[in-house]
Amino acid sequence: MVTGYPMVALFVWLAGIVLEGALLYRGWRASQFCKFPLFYSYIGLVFLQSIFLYVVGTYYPPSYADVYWALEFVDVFAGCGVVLEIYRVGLQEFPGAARLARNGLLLVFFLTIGRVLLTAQEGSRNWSTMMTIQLERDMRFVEIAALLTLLVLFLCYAIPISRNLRGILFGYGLFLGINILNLTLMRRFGADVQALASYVQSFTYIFVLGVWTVLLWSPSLQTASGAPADGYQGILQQTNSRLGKTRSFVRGALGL
Amino acid sequence: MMTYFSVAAALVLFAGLAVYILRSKYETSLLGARLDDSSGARTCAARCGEDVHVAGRVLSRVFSGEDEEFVAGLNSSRLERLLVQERKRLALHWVTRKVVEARGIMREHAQAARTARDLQISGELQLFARYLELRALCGLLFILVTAFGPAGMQRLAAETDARLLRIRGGRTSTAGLTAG
Repeated sequence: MVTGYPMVALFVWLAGIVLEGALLYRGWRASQFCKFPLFYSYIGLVFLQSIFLYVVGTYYPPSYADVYWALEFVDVFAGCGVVLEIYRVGLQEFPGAARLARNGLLLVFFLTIGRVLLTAQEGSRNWSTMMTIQLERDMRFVEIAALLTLLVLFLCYAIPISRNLRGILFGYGLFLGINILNLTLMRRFGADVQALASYVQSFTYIFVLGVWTVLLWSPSLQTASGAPADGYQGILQQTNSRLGKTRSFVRGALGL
Repeated sequence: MMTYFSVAAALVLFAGLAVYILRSKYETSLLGARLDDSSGARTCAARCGEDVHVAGRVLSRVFSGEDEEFVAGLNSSRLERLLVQERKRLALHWVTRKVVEARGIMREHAQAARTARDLQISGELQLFARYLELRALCGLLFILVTAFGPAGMQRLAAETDARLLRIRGGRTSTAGLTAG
């Protein structure tokens, strides 16, 4: 919640609910739910949470902070679904690149489990809001690692992705980046920066919702990649031989 | 520690997203540039001859001191300077073309491998290491040509070779004397 700016806070809150509603409505009208089930589940969850938090904030203000952090925790895990969706939809026609991504994501997954267990063990002695912030930050950090793995693969293997998926990727990436910066600042400086952090976070979220609404307004076609094929050894051999030829020229020039 | 790590992660993510967005935005122009590039490469290949023997001859000519020796015999310092400059330019252009060629090979590989169901991570890593090695060799060649010129570089290599042989020869004879 944006404390100290009641009008702005109210505006951001309502704008968020309206945009989330619009996004869900367009998704339903354009039959995008089947295409991006995890992403729309995430938006649906956040939409319901926003309404619930609005009610709590209006009628039970003292309980707001506890409810907010508890729900934020659920959001973090739901956010992993968005990353999974980017992987699933983006690489479904590219089994080779998907295989590489799977290994990278598995590594990230084990890191997550390890980190969560470590923080939970620390928290079992004395759980506090700071502990929740730390756990959320660590989880976001892992999500960033997963998203970066996918981005590197998309760039290296020139994976063409549709406008809709590009929107999800860009929006969620921006949200994650700002979120981790905010959580880091809050963990370091505590309540001093909470108002500013909430303010930045809320406006970023509204911007991200705007990006999603625009880029997911109508369905876009996934670029065709050609049929998946076997014969990687042949491809590898051919590339090795071509690289070898170029290398022998360069070595020759060096007098090696 | 974790603070810096998190900030760095966020910045890397923003940079990655920016690169991805820019790449998507200029995909068409990149594609055009690639087409130009490949047609340029074809023109160059046609001019120099993609045939291995012809390319080898051109290469040995550019990097040999034969022509420089001939021009030195004409006693024209201006002509000599011009030849060295031209040779250096040609050699650097050749190195750059090799880098472009290597990049093209890797790009084509990525496009073919991304749909391969039986892709092997070890194969990809091995290939990437070979590519890095080639890029390092090209970088080294570029620096040497810039510093010494193509013929100068060959002379340097020959001198080093001769010195090594002398050292080896010296060592063998010393070993022979010691054994005797």
